[in-house]
Amino acid sequence: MKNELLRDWRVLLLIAVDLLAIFALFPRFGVSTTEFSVSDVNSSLILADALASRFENVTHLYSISQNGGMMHGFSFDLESAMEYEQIVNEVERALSGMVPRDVEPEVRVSGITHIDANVTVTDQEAVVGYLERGLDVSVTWVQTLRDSIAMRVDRELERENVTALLGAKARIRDFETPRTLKTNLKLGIDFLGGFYYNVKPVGVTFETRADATNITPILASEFFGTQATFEGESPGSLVTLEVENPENVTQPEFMEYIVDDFFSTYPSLRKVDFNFGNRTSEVVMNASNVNALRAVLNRTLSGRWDVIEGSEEAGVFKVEGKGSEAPETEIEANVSGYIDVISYDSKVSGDTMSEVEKMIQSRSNFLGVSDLRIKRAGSEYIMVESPERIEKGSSILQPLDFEARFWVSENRTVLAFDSADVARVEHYYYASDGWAVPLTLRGSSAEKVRQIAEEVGAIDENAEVREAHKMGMYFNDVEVYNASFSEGLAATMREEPAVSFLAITGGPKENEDARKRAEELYINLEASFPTKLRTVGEGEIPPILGRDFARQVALAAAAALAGVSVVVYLRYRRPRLVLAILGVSLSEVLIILGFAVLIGWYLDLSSVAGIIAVIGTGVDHQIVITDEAVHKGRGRRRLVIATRISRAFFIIFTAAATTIIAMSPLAYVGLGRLRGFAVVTIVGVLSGILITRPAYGRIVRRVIGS
Amino acid sequence: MSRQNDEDFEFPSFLDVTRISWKQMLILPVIFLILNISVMVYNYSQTGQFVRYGIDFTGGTIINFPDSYELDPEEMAEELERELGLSQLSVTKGGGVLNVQTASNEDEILDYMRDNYGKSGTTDTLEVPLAETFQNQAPVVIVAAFVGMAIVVYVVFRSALPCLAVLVAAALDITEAMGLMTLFGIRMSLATVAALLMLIGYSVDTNILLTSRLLKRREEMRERLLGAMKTGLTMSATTLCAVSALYIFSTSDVLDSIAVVLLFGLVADLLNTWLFNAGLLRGFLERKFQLLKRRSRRRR
Repeated sequence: MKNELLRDWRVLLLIAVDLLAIFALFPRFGVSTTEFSVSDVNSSLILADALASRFENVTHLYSISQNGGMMHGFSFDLESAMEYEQIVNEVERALSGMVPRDVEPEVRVSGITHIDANVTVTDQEAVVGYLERGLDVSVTWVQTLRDSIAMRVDRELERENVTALLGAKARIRDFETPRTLKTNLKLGIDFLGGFYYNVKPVGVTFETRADATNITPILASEFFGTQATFEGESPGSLVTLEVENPENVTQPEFMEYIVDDFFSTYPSLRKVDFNFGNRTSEVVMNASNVNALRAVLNRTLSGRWDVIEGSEEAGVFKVEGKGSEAPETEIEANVSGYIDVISYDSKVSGDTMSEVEKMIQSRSNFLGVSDLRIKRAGSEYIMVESPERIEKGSSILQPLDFEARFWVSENRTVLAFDSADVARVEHYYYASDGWAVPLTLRGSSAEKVRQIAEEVGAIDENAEVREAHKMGMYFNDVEVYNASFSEGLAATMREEPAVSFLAITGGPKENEDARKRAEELYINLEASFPTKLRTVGEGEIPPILGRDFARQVALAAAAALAGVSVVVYLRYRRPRLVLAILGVSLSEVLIILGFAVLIGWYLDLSSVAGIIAVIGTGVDHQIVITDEAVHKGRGRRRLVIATRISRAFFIIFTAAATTIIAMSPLAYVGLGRLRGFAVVTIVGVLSGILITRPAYGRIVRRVIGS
Repeated sequence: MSRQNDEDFEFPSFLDVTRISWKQMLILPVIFLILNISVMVYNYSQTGQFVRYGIDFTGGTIINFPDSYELDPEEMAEELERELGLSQLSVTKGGGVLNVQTASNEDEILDYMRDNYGKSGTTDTLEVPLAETFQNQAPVVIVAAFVGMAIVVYVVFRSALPCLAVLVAAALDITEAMGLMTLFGIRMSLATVAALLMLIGYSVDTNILLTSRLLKRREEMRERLLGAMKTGLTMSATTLCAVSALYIFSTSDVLDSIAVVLLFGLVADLLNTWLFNAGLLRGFLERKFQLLKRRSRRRR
């Protein structure tokens, strides 16, 4: 009987998929591995050692931290002269596996055989590459944590060997050769404990109809204070307006000052032609519908408004106000007369949501916070789950307000520049007078800063005057540092605007708060959020509860299976059927968990609910099959067992299709944390009808037939 | 191995619904539905809402009391509820920080903790992001799910009646489970929403079994109905067993509330499938049968 079953493809498929799932869940079963973490990585020593394998007299010159990595300068000698290309190749070969592929080392030949090279690496790449080469292993998993780098290699190693290889290049922290059955399944914070934060990117969007031929006359009438009418439109979005000449205005005045003023007020509209007439003049401008709309937004609404999509032909556009919380009525009141609001939404666009998610991710990478999970909760909230508490005021979820202000008098300051004026930022470092972040201002902002500095006296020739009008740096309205301009800088700025500034966040070097502020400022300017974020909810799932919870789930599952077995036995009185139903149900759980590992799904509470649901319907369906199989019918209606089982499959397929369809909207929309439930249910039901139930049908045929 | 023939399995006579008319079969489910709706309407008249919402939906305040290693969260929840007459509290602990989530009364809790335990706490406001999202999206999700179900069932059976039967049964199961939740004071949370959605799966299983057995078989009505019932009751029995095990062995609020809601729904499903839905289908089939008889008599 067993042999016959094992020849059936349905049963074989089930066994194969089960084995696959087990392999996905426990990929290192029987494979020895070593897990350890290292800290205090000295990448310059690592690189010097690697270079020494091919070159002579390797000297480390300097190191500069740069964009999350380090740039090291080395000099070394060649045995004999080589072509430049060949040298670069040799350097790359010496460092292969330790430096990123996309950043070529900068190589300079400074003598016939004397070479200088700049190499940029991250600690992780350097140490992983060095260990892989030195120990002849392959690193299968690596993660940079806050103060260490954890990794797993595919071989059993002795601690002494690793220590000997690393020497002073890095320090080994934890070291273990796991012999327990470790699963690849990722558990969500429901199990492991952690913190969750719900944030809402602040902003609104609305849809509007905008018509340049309508808008431009209104804007012109308002601006010139006289009647302006639409005269004609020509291809290329050229709009001609007839404007009554303002009283007592001469042609040159009107032409040069007033009209030009109009166009500099509304930079999205461009002047094409101006014909001064006797009583009325003709203004021709390049004004597409979208540019007219921009002019209206600029005129009527405060804050940042962008047209994010739309159609010029239809004149319908979608506008996003990042950081705005203006209700629909306020927007309507402001723009009425110019444009109509068709629809309104009190949330930012999908693109902005994605960008915020990306920024949260990259900030957390910068800060070395590991395992942050970022999920969309509905279409307006982002849920961040973290195994660690995210400190209040930490930059991961909160933009930092940064401002530089001049002191005007004892108790009054004026804004010099803020984050929006910064064009570029470089990695922070410790300068002579404190932790410093090099900033480059936008051209226009630099000129503005110069003017303000001149007005308040911050660049006065007299040092006492400068001392009275110092510049202060403010983080979220708290002054962290202030100092007057130096003689040299003041002298330069009296002549021309200064573009580069150092934002000093305090000192001395050991001041951890100052270093942190420099780091935060750097991150904030480097990965800036497109809009403000508001934390609308946060909470903690204690790990104790989490661990308990997992144990309870296991216990409850065992009890549930026992209960099901008893009912099935009482009903059919066949122990083999009980075994078959239990076996198939366990297969289904295995398949779902295996699938979860393959797609990197985090098992959370709602997924567990989904698994319970799948087992429940799975057992239901197996009972339908069994009942059909044992129900022979009477007299002429006696059917062969195959026909009866195929009737059962009609019921099962219909029920399965219905459940899948019913769960699809939830899987699509997600409703907060319920997506896991829907996805697991769909996957489970699908694997049920495709794999486990056909096999069960075969098994039942055997059991009943015997 | 036992050679027992399944045909001999005795069907208890008190479950033999064919002894009463199809109209009589509807009485109990209809009374049950009316009772559940009355509970929700009563709750509405008292609180302005048909069901009780938990903190997932209402929002509220989180108070953190640091350095509270010695306090037990469950005892604290009970004590605060008892001493201050509060409800809707959720108390958790982690890293020595005691977190109290409350819909309101944060000042009372802060005062109480300061006066009795010398703890000072900080508060964070928890707004209601998910509640708002649910209010907007939940109806869409539910309507889409029901429309999808209707289409599948229609494609399979090519007839409007089974569609209606399956949909009505699923809707009744969910409604009645909500009514029972209100009656027993179980608050609507994310976990109970998941449980309500799980009911769709179970409801569909039993009702499609019933519908296809009744409409697609050619045996006697009694045989068809009781055969389906036998299968269906076994199905429900296994599920009830599993859910009860979940309820008994877990002490987690979340799993307990899922289990209770499923128990409610499964009980409702027994009535709705085997009395309500079966009664309606039986009535339909009996009338169709009489119509056929009359027609064939006329033809003669």
